[in-house]
Amino acid sequence: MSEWPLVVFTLAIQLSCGLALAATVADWAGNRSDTAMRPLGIAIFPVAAIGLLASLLHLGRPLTAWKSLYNLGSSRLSLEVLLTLLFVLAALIYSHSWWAHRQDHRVLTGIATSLLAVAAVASSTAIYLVPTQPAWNAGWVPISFFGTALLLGGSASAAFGNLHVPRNLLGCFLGGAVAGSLMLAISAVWMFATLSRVPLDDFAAARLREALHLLTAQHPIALGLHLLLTTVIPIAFAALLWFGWSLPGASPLLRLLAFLAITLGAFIGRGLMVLVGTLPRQF
Amino acid sequence: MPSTRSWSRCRRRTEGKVADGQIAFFVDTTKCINCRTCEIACKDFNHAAVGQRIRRVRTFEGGEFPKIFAYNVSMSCNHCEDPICARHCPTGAYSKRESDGIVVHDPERCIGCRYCTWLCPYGAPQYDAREGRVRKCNFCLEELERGKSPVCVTACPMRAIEFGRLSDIASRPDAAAQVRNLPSPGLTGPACRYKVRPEAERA
Repeated sequence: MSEWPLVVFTLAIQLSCGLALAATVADWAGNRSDTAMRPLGIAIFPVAAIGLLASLLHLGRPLTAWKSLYNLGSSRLSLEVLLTLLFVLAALIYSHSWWAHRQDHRVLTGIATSLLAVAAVASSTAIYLVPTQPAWNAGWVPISFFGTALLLGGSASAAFGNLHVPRNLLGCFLGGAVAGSLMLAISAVWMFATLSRVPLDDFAAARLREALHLLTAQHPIALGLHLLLTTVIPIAFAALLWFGWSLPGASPLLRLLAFLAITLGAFIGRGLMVLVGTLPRQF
Repeated sequence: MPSTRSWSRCRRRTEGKVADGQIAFFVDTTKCINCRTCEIACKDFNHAAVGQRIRRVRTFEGGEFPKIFAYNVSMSCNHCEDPICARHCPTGAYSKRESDGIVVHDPERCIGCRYCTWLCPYGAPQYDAREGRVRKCNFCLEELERGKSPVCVTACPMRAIEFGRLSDIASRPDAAAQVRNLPSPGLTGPACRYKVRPEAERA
């Protein structure tokens, strides 16, 4: 599959979107001690920038990437590029304010960054919602994208943030991760419902049949791994952090491993999503 | 998703709203013998890369013994009335000419994002990894401007491919816009028409 850069791009933008939301919530909640959220606030820009660079690798001619803004009037891809660029620019300013311990207007900058991040993810989902792609053209794609943002943002905040934050803030992070996890489960069920339909159009029906076969017959292990790592692991991770472990006792290694497992699950899921839409065509 | 609604929309598009000057291919699938001379002529003329099939012939088989059937469909870009490639190309590399409705792709503008290859239900835009950009049928514009026919039309030994004004082609009693196993014309309003056997008619 030649679409791996897009998998990295979408996941990185969604992770940085989740991080921006988490940092803004933490800042807004009055937790202004820099030590608690600083690493996450600083990480937003590099993660988003990695995503942007990865998207260039998908192009046949990366040096002419600027031309992708030519068709803002009607192209969803142009709009996605513009909104992602604006988000990355806002993330640069926001991350810098965390880096430089600047607290003036940081909440406002965080809100603006988060809004742009949500807009960038929304424009990203619009790319896949086209009637000529029957496997993608359904609500499971936006649910998957926003669920991934919440899951990765919440898990990263719980995994790498300073856990000496107020318990309600930790609850916010873990709640975001669990909500994202449930959204991904709903997205998976919706995806199967979409692929199992038999539309009037025989070409679309054939495409959906092939996509379903690809998931259930050719990649069942990857599919199972995706569901395990993005639903069971995050919920168990959140429950352990919330109920089981006292906050200072939560092992950094365990938290790191949990985050890596969840990210791997999201990576596999996104790869499968791209695969079902880019099956070889009859025409 | 194509639905009953999109079917009715397709009829409106394919029977009424097409520009007067729109030119189109007419493919007689009852004559096509799957020799692929059209594919080779197209590849040769356009200097297409290995694996890049700007025009393709596809064979469909079906039925149950002893009543079996097969038909061949030669297809390139359909120069659609509502070209989804042109609407969503981020660089504006695609344009639909007002004079004759040909959807032209400008390789100089193409950045190789491949979004059009995802969007086109007919797989008309073909990516060339060596050049890092997409190519598709431009109706052999150079030939047309010299008063000649597209090379696929000239090369076909069975004379199965013709071209002309869509208004003339669509008025033929045997011209069908909908062919079994092909994407619904309601999606993009393709300008091509086909002559098909009854078994290749869309149910």
